[in-house]
Amino acid sequence: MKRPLMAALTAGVLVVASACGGSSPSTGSGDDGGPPKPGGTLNIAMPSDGTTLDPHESPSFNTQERVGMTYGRLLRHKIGPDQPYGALKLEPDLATSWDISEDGLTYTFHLREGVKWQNVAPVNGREFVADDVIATFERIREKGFQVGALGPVTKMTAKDDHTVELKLSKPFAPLLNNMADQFMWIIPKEGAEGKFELQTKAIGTGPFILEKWERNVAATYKKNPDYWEKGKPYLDRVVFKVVPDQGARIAAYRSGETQLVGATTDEEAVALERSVAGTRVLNLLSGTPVNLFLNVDHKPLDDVRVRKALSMAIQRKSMKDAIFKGGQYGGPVAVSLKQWALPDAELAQLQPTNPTEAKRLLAEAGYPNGLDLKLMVTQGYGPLYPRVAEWLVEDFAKIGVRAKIEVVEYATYFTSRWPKQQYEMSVGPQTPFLEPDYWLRDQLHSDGPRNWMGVNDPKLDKMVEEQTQIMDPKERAEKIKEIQRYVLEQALPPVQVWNHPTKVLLHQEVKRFHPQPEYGYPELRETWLAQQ
Amino acid sequence: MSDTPMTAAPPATDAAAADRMPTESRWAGLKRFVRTQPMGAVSALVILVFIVLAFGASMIAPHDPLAQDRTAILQGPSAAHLLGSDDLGRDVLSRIMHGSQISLYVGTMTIMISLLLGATLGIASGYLGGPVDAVLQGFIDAMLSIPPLILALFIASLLGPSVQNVIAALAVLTVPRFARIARGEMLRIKSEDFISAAVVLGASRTRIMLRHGLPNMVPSLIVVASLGFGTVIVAEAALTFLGIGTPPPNPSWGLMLSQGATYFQVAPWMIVFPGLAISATVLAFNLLGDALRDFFDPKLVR
Repeated sequence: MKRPLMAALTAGVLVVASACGGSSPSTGSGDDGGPPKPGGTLNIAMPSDGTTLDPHESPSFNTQERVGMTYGRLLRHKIGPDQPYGALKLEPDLATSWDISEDGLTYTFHLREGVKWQNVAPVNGREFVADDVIATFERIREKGFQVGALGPVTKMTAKDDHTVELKLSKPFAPLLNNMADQFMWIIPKEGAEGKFELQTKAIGTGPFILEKWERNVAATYKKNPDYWEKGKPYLDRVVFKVVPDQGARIAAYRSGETQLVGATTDEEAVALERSVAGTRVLNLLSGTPVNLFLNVDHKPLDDVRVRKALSMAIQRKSMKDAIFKGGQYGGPVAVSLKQWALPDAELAQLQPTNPTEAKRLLAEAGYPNGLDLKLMVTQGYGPLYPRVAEWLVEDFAKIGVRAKIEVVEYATYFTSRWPKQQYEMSVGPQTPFLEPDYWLRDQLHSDGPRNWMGVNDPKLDKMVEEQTQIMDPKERAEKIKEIQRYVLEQALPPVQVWNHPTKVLLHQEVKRFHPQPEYGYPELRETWLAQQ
Repeated sequence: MSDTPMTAAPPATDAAAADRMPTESRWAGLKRFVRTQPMGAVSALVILVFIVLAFGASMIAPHDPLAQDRTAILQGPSAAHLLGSDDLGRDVLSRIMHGSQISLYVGTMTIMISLLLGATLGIASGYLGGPVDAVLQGFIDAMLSIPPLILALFIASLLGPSVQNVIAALAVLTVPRFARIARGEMLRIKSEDFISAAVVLGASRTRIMLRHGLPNMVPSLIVVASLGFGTVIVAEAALTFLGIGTPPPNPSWGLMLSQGATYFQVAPWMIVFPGLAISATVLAFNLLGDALRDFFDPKLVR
């Protein structure tokens, strides 16, 4: 039941990666234009709307993007011109400090005092306390799709109004990162108790108050005057307008009706940039690579030689020049997560392109005359993926693999074909996870909830479990890199096609927009408008 | 179509046939068509070009429609690519030429299937009347009450994207048209004297329907088929545009439109030329249909 929801999330990957990407360090600081000026309304075009605002019900970017500005988290990621895209440095949000016991089994969070909930009934500006955190986590454990983020937490106690203690049955290295995860918003206990409807309302401690949500039309936010960070946010209002049609989104951007838009292709970005003078372009790295999912339960995709041959057939460099106009080699952990990703040079070396060798491997595996495979793709993620699929068909033909494209309707793709492993090969994105644990354990462990490829490698399982036990981040990063090397050497799916860039275009009056690759637009607490 | 068998009845009783002068040769008929219906003749010529393109695409087309020239992505019209190249460096002209194969194939198959089914249902319904008519027409009415593209979308998405499934979906869509026309014609023919004569002579119902009914409605069916052909080509393009028609990388015109829409601002040739091909073909079929209708209509003074 959770799977379709999880998959729904990926719906917006492309758009989100572009709409909430981040600035490259070089373009960041120069455009901030002096001291912030409060006021004004920022209009952002979104391609679609969520079905619910309940942050525990749907991991869809549509849901999470709409509540992120309203809620706070225990920890959050640093935002600013000095933070390179993908740095994801932790900083206090609702917890001002935290202690971790020697054995890694007890986490104590000291909560910020004097934080008020937004002044909306029925919470009415009450003070934020430890019970709210407990209520949130209990609701997550009861019904949240993000329950895995709490890992082996066994006991949660409010020591006093401003202290929360979590007890674990074994060490769990991702826990602290998960407290700042894009799905770990803290809700008021009134919400958990059902005193207001979380599906249609969001009352949090965040910088903006959700004023009105008209489904499939717009979500309107106003400044939260009681926000704990004094003087912020600068914007009076933020409006997410739902504009499903890309052409209409471009037109709205051109006319100034919206001041921020994510481009789905490089060609569109070029056209957009030309259309409005002074447009600023943020060149970002997508939070998910373009993946070639292989169903390893389908013979002969269980054969490492066949998988390697497929990977070696992909002309990544010319694809970069012809289609993506940038980007990097992809890795098992998204390369946008700088701290955990393998260096580009190593990824290049681990993913060579060599059709001759690929043919030899296929022959060795018993397919001297090539083989027939189906390649599934959906148009639900925009035009990029079908285009890549057609490209791959040509690359595979060169090594004798006759790939036939199956275009699958989006709902079928994410509710059955992909999660139920009813495919041979598939091109698509993955949810832009923020913790390597999601990328590795959820996706590649034999018991992983997102393992929709049939990966079952006992050695990998063991390594993936080990990394959750390594508390030292440096040491853990080494382990995570080692796992990635192993995955690439075994050509385990998903085969990385390319980690593409995405572009966000901003009108020049939008200042201090420095996103990280996460959902929820937390960066808007810093953003201001030069002309209003 | 002109050598209508009139075994059991004097041709003079058939209004359409009567006007066609039984002695007129096919050649004379063609000349008369060109003379009286110049637009129709031009349309027929366009369709002929379309058919030649479809059959000769692999010989005439300058490039392989699937070959990706990865150094020439999204290039405007030039000597190398007369109508430009698409988002994977494929030649747009060659793809349009090969695309005519798909359009022609889908059009022909759909019209044949729906003609066969529709005419059978219509003739049976019209001649037999009574409960058969009521049931069949009720069914046809029900089908006509559903917006055609929605129905096709529904069927095509149930079956999944492939050329055969598009044909199936569109055939279902087109059957009611033929059934309606065939029924109307059959009702008209049924009241003619030569049918009564055939009945008196002891001809079976099947024989009357097939030997006396069908031949006399051929002109009407040709008109409907010609008009329908255009509709089917557009519908195929629409279904493919919506992602449930002919799957990539086949160079279907609808697929070319759908892919071109993304690059409209930077590479208008990707959408304009296949769009023109669709418009020209559909217009030709419609004008031909109109011309044929006028040509066969005895009430129009020539």
